[in-house]
Amino acid sequence: MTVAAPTAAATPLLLIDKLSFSYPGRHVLTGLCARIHPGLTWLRGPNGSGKSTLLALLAGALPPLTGRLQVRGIDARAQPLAYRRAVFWCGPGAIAFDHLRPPEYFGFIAGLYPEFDRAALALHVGGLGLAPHLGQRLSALSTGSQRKVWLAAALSVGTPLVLLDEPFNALDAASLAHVLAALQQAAADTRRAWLVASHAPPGSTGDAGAETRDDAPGDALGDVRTDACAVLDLGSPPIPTPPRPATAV
Amino acid sequence: MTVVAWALLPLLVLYGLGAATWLAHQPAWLMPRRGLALLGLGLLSLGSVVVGTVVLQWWRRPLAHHRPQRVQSNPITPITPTTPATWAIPRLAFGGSVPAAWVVWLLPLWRGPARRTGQALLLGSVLLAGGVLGAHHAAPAAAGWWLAALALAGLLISTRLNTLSLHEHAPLLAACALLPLAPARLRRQRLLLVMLPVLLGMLLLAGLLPWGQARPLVALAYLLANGVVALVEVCSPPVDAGAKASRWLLSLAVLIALASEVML
Repeated sequence: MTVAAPTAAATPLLLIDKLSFSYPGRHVLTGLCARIHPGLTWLRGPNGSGKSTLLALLAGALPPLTGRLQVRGIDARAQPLAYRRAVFWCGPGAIAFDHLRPPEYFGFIAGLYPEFDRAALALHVGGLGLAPHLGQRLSALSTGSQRKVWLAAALSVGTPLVLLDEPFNALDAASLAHVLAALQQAAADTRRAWLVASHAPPGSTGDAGAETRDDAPGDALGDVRTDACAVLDLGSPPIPTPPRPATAV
Repeated sequence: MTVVAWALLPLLVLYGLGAATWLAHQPAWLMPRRGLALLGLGLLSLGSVVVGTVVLQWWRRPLAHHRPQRVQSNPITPITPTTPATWAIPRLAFGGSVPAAWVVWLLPLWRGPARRTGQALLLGSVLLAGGVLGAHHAAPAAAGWWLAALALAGLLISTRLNTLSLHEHAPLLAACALLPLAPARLRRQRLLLVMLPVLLGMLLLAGLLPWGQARPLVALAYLLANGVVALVEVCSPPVDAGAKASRWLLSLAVLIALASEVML
């Protein structure tokens, strides 16, 4: 599978080579190959097709069974620390470091990623309506506000690869519009790749978790420009395999 | 000011305990000057709090005073913030970035998931340091006994701290696996945290021990053995209860044997 934005260069920013992963008793990914170029890539697929698992694998949260991952030539196995410095993952849940206040969290992330952009952070904090919450601990904030803090960090972190897992969940209309505007610019980004997993159109009123629409990425990502947005389609959900001995996994 | 006072409280309590010990003994040289000494202690404590507050205030100054803002190479112009972005992370300590050790190990001790570890750390440190101070002044002749008791207390405290820290810091460590943080460095930092009471206690003991009346090599071996035993306890992978009990008994036998031979 090759994924390329229309204006992409020949050398991919992210190389996924024969990536395989299984949970006990269930194959999730088998020999996935993809080349992701700078710009915005929509990772789509039905529920259970492995979108979140793929993002977790790319982030280094899960070890692949087989395969190779490279960001700008940095191999995930050979140089794990350098690889993680090149990737930022914004997960679907709450932030683990919820004992911090938002400015402390941003300061922590800024200390880990040298390209962290404080000017962009100021814009995103304003755009996501986080200013009133800056004095509170993350544990005292709602899930939606915690997601906004994580998103603000992700949008400002400056790593070559940014992974956003369901970034539209639990966002109010103004924040949604802000994230969509940011992603619209990400689509034209020639230096970084933004991989967004989203199974439902933002703001849809139906049962968001029931079905994945087979629409164009522009529909799924709202106002994001469709001509510069690539699609990585994980297809149908995997068929459960018979249980195997734990040692085989 | 309150934060600094709370942070300095363990130190101030130790100062107070030390002063009380001296006053209880009523040494002749101290009695004429005890008012002055107490005033000096009070001023020193107050000065510590004031200096700490000034340092914190200096750290809390706006980031722009410390570090020039980097020129944005890829400006995001079309986004219009809904509220003015005037704050620009002004209230961050540590000059704008927060050290990972602070976030992962220290801050969770009093306002994160590792509060019980923090309480055990504080209690263990005070108990060991207070034990060393108290026993040294109260029963210098029975050093063999209290050295053995200190070794047992150190082992208990480091084991308990290790168990608590493994449990309470686990979610943070799992989150750190996604960040560019070297696992070996995190392991070393946890080790230092868990062994802190024992290290403090042994350092204090090394300073107070009457080396003239002790066998220096045995005393040194005793101090080192306490550290090594705590290190082994913290670094060892989980084992079954039998193996753990055997290790404990062996450690205690070695420590008590050394403790009984420290003093001449």
